[in-house]
Amino acid sequence: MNSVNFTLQHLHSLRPRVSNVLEGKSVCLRGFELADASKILEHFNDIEIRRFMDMPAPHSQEQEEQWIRNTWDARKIGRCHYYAIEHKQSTQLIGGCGLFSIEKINRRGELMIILYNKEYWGQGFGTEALQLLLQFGFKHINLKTIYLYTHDTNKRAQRVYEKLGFKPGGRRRQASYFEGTYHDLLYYDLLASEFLD
Amino acid sequence: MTLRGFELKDAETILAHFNDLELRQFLGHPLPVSKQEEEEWIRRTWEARQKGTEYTFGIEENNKGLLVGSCSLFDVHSINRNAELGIAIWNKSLWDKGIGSEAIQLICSYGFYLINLHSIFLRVHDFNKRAIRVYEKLGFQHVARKREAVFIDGKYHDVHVMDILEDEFRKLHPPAPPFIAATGE
Repeated sequence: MNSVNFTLQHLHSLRPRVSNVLEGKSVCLRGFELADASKILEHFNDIEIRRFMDMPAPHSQEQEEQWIRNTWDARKIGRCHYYAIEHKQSTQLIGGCGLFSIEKINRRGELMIILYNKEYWGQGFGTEALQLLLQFGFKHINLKTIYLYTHDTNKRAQRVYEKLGFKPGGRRRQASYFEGTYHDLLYYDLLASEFLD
Repeated sequence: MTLRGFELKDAETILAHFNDLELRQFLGHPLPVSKQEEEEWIRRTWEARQKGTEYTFGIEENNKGLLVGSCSLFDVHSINRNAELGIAIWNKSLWDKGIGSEAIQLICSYGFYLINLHSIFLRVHDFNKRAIRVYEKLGFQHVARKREAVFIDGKYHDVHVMDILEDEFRKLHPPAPPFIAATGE
């Protein structure tokens, strides 16, 4: 956790990349720009990327632009916070992550992450982005619980979530259909008290 | 009992029971609702049914023709072929009489035998022991616990997730033709 240099002052700074709110050692989280749509599309219709997403491919570019606009509106009403994951050194967009379905009274939200760019897999960038997002969720938008669902076959993701402190809470049996079979969705959650200790 | 679509005039019956803390603690946050809001909600159930995203029905008790509650399969997912179950018996004088249990059987039969679902899940607050017993008796399994997931009356409570698969439901509650008539559809 200490390796992540989290600086809220970027919120108010007038640096050229003003949208870099959340910055870690290797990646930063920033709002999506419309220009990101084509970057996303380069990777997004890849079955290996889409396997664990509950949406039918393929996507079109205008659809992605619309999605990006939706993230702006959803952030304003506090329903979802979706951010682009940028690799700092190369300034490449490598993925997206977010807190969505935010329940204001229960102070909880669901977490998602996807690294579009496979060249950047397996180097800890996802973990770092998630640490930033969890700090954002607990410290800045005052969530009490962050939870997620992940596919039973996605062992890599499960290891990452467990390393970050998420506790397995059970499953929804055969709740997701892809590539010809039904798969269980595993439920994980993390309380603010566990994360901030 | 009969499951039937809601009519706008049902809003009044709903209102007579719905702004009640003892009932609402089990359903979510007890935010007061108005009659016109309920009418809009009823219209929304019609639209959602047409889109196939939600099947929400009133529960009518057959003896006196009283509307006593509602039940629903919502967030119907067409690829994963699953949905979430919700049920409420608003009329507290009719609690503990097996009405909820019968309505759940009907709506699950509707889900598995009419709209071809593969699984049905539900969420229930951990303090709602009566409901949990009913779901267990009907064959739902405890599959997950969401820690401190709901804030009711000053406290956070765990939420249980339970689910049932089509083949499990078929063994326990095989298709019985009269249920189709009972839906009134």
